[in-house]
Amino acid sequence: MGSRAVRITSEDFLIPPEYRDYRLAERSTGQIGGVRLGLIRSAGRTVLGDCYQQVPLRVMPPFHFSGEPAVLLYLINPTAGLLDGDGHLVEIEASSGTCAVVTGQSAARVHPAVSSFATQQWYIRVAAGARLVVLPGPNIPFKGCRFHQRVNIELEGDARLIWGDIWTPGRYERRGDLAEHYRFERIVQELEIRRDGELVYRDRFDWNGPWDRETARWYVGGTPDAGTASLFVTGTLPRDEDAAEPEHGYQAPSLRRSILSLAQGDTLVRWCGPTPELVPAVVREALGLAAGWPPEFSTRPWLIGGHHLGPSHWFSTPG
Amino acid sequence: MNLRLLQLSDSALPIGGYTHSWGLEAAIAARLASDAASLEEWVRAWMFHAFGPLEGVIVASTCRAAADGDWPTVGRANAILTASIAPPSIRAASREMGEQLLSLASTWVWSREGLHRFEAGAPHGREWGRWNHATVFGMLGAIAGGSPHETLLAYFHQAVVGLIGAGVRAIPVGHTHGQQILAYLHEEIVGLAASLADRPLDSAGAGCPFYEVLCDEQTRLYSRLFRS
Repeated sequence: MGSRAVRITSEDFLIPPEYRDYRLAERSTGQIGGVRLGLIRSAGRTVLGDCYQQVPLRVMPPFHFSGEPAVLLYLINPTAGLLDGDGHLVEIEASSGTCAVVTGQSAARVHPAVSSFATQQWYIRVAAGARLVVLPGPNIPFKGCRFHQRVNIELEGDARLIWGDIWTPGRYERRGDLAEHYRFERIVQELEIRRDGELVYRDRFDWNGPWDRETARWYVGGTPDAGTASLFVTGTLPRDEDAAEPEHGYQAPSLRRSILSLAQGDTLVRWCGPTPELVPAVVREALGLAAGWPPEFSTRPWLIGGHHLGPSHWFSTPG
Repeated sequence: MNLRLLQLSDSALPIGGYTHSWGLEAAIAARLASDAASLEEWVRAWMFHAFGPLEGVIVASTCRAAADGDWPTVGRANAILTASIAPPSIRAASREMGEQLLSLASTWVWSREGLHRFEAGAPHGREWGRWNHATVFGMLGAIAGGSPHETLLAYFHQAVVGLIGAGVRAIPVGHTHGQQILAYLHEEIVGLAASLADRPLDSAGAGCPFYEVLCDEQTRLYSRLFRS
């Protein structure tokens, strides 16, 4: 963990027992890479500290927008997505006083597996006094893919964090027989969040695909294009009347949303429902909740509440 | 036959299991379970997709660790389970039943001594109110002399009996149908337990978002028969 300028190799990736018979790409340039970056506070702003980048991942310099408490940091993957054997490592260390939204430039397309699997592994440390929203972008598992997502987050003291996960059914809008609804082969997720060393939330699953209609209904609900998403939010959610927006979140009637209070006082917000409505709802809620964090207590969601961004991001919301 | 395991899995055990439906009540309200056939499907899906991969692995891992006197692992299994159960109603049910089973078993002649060893060796001692049902069941299974596989079978059996019982009362379904469902599921429970008994503790987890949403919706039903 940390912004070490040391080459990322396949040895840096933990492989779950479900994929122990597979090996990541070991010699192929551009398949094993990632970023190690530090966020620090300098002259009253959040800026990049130490930063190591290795293809295929890149990080853009933070965007500062006037009136916005958070900087926007894009992780860029110029390839077609996560291909068989790919390993992407993302390490983020947010120092005290920093305030940022970290996101990908697009959804993550996970391509079919041939002889291996693809993995994306996140290691995030948020110092006391830091505020961080991480929205990697929707995962689109293609037919026949094998994917492993590992997320390990350490929070210190009063650190504020929102982590968002979005799982789509696949390329569900393709025509006819080409449409994919949960046709992946296997998805393994290992997500653990700790505060001062204590485990506060864990989401570990081994989804074996492809799913038939009944199985998909069990996991994500009954609509054909149903996806699922979740936000881990430190602390409790504000009451609706105190939130940045009356419904603190873009709500669509077709979505099912639950606010689940976790054992150590944090919150998980879960959604299931049509993917086109799910994605903006999750983003709007995440950035609306972040707006309620001290010390600014903004009255509108971070970033998307202003006029700085074009409407072409994966997280753009309907006007 | 291990009579101690039978006692642990007795549906009449006064630990509150009778008051929970584990989300089934919301499924009934949503017409996802409405008769004997759909109840059987619901119970099967719950066992294979939600309950087994999480709690089953915890039970077997805890049983194995307790048999070795590895109390830190028992404590870690409990922490993993607490952090993994997101719906508050299900987590409360798990912890209340765990506490009550621990309290009850501390008075039993065959488990008292073993629980004393646990109390002395566990990182946080007994600390009433912190232990989940699956963890306590796995530990008592070891004290009962059961293997992880046998203990897991007993745990699954009591869980399935409890869930079918909730369906029998709430849908409603006749007791005869309820027993038929149980008989249909027996072989599958055996297979599931065999597939999970040796899995590593860190693989415990289910990932059933829609089920969690249903569990949450159950707490907001207009009239409820169950506490979860």
